[in-house]
Amino acid sequence: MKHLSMTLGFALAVAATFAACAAAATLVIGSTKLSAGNASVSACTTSLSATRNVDNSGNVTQVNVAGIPTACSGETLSVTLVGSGNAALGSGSGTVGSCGASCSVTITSFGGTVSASSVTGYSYGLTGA
Amino acid sequence: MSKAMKALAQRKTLFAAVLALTIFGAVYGFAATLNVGSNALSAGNATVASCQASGTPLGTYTTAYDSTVPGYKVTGVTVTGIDAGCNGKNISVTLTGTSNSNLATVTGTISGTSQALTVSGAIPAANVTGVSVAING
Repeated sequence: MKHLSMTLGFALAVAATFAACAAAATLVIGSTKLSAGNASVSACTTSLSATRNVDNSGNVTQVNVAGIPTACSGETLSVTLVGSGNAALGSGSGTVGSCGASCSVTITSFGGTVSASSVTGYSYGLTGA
Repeated sequence: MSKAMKALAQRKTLFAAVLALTIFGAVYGFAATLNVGSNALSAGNATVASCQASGTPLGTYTTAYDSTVPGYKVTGVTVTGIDAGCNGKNISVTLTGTSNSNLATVTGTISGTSQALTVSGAIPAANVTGVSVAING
């Protein structure tokens, strides 16, 4: 009886110890979903040039952007007429259509009347389709 | 067996049981503090799944002229082609520039299969050379 009691007690102690240790070792972790990726953002052109048409009042009636690479086909071209202090005098946009060796876009609306004498430059933005 | 022997045996049994419970409690005490102890180390493995089962999300951009650039800046990013399984999850989009520098990071919660995000600040469109997207949740 004495040995049985001691053996039983010892076995219980060992079992309890291993059970507790086993619980710590089998640390269960989960994970939420994760998706990630990278992509290059390329430009279809690095430079553009434009000409303007002016009416008898001295206001810009249209801006012609020519020599656009065919790689820009389908993209949206935004043009801002820039004045002193880089102020935006007016902006317009057009879609670069399908074309041969090079494309052109004519913009005729700038959100208001823009005096040609105030225009000091053009700013371009092309966004992909 | 005499009464004295029986009593001794009972006391030893009781002692053994108390010892067992003490060790059990002590070990569980250590296990309970495993996550917060400064010297503790826990390890495990889990599978990290992706909600984007197929297809490639595509980033498109909106721009606007900004006299402080001066030139066109990025005002927004729209990510399309997101799997329906990603609906409701968090999306993070980073515009990168030269040497993979972080130009801007915008976040949102996906609603549907596309997500439009507003880019604040004046990030010159001409400086953006890459985009990184992460969806988690």
